[in-house]
Amino acid sequence: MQATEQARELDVARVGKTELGSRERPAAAGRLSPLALYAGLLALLAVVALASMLVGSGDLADARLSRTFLELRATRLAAAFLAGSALAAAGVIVQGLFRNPLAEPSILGTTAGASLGGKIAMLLFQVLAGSALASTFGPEMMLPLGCVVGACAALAVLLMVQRTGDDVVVLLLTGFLLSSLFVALGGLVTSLAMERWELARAMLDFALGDVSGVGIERVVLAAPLVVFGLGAGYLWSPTLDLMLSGEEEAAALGVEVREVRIACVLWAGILTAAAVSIGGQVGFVGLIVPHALRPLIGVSHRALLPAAAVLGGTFVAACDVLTRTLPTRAEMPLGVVTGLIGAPLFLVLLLRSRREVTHG
Amino acid sequence: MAESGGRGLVARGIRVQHGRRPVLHGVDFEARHGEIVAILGPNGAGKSTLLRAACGLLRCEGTVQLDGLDVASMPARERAQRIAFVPQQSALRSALPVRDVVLQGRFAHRGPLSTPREVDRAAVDGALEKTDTAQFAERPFTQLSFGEQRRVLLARGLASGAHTLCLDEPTAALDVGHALRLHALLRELARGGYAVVLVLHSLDDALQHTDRALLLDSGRVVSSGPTRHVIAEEHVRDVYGVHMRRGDALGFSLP
Repeated sequence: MQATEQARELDVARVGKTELGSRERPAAAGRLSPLALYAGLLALLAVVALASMLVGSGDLADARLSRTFLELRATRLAAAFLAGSALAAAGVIVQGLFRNPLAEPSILGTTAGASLGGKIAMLLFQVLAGSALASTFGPEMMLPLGCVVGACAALAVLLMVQRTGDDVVVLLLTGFLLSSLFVALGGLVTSLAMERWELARAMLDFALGDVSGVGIERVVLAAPLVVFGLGAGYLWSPTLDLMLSGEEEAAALGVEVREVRIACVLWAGILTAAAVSIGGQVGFVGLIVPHALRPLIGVSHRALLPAAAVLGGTFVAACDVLTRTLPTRAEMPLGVVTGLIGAPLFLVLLLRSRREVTHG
Repeated sequence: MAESGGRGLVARGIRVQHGRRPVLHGVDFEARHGEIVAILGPNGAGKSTLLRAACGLLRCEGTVQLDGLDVASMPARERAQRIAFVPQQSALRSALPVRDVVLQGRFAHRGPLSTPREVDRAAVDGALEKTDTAQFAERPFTQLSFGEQRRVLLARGLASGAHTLCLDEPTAALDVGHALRLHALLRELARGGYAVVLVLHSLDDALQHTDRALLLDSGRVVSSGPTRHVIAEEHVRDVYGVHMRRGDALGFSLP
């Protein structure tokens, strides 16, 4: 009996290390106060914003062009910030929903789903050109709408798979599979669009994904989606805290689990879709940012979500400055920079969690 | 205060299947306010499944009513205000401080954005004190021992203010002192009108600390009624395949 209890205690301690925030400092001990945290985050944002306005190939000393340069850079900064905020917040939401610190929109295939949805919407718009539907929604409206549908569909498929078991590997492999499927289907849609050169060109631009050429219209259209997704995610934060205890316990504590699952898929889908409609597929932001924050502020979603939104936006804006400053022949796509940072981090986290499950 | 001597939790004809495998075959079960009821049986008998079904956490055939109200059609919040389910082990693997874990028990009483009110804080403090967990209220849940985690989960259940408590093996992994104090606490709550349902492995504990019992084997009721009648020589032999001797176990009591 005693041996069984000891084994149980060991098991609890071991498995605990693989889950959300278990390595983080105790939430009460050594946590940053909200004031100190936001002061730091805003100072960081101010520095990055300043750099974003000042750094670039255009010469600000040229009085005729400086205004245009500044406008372009401001749009770019806003686009990068919004995309980063949305992706980091979506990361927080899906990690809570799947109870898994490795869950992230790009890893789970959500960004690929949003991208496919966007492309199908563009294709549909061409097919429906002249119809009442097309004139009601305009091309700009169709794109984010398609992204939302694609992202939510991808998350819904994942949730169905996850309900059959709680295995991290199955979740990640399904995400990988969905990503591959959506990329392949995206290729098919692009090839279908080849008949119309302009459409194919627009689709390629969208697929490559970057904030460098993004117009103010796309930013303005995506901004309400980001604000809505953040607000809704914040409202659902206390419920997500309860979901960390698993669906059965959450239900026993008064959570309508099915409702929360659908709502969180929707909020994460909207946020991811907004980010993709602005900046294409920028990977790993939702993984890096919450991981950087949890040791500082703990695992409570109400504290984590807004902080992740600010730091996520700042991080992507900083990466965007980096794309402009790295000595490459052409500007590096944004996704390359976040991928170079995020992929090794993901590998480290994955190895760490597997090692802890295996060796305790 | 819950209605003492009221109907409490009444389950009729509970059938549960896991996939194609039937786990419970039409079980009847009752826990009135003011009494402690044990669900007993060997491993795999369907004890925890019955407890979950009685708490409305599992889809099942049959009916479960609490004080005359259908549990299956209750909104989750209302159900959580009336029934507290305390699992054997929490699936929580996050470094939430113990106080926040216990505060989760107040979720059903609060709005999505409201901060904890005085009544919530008082309920949490009271539950921490009753379960002797106040001294590690600020420590992360994941850093506690299994036995300490069990007490925190009980505190979360108590904080909910629900007057029907359903506990899955509450004393497993508790030392003898904390186990006795837990039983004393449950008795005190039952006297105050709570309906308490326990899944237990220890027949000795059941004899000493519960009023009525339900003995399950392979998803069927073997015996139910006053605990000392249920734990009878022939039932124990039939269900567990062991002989029961009386009088050779160590006894413990609170000072």
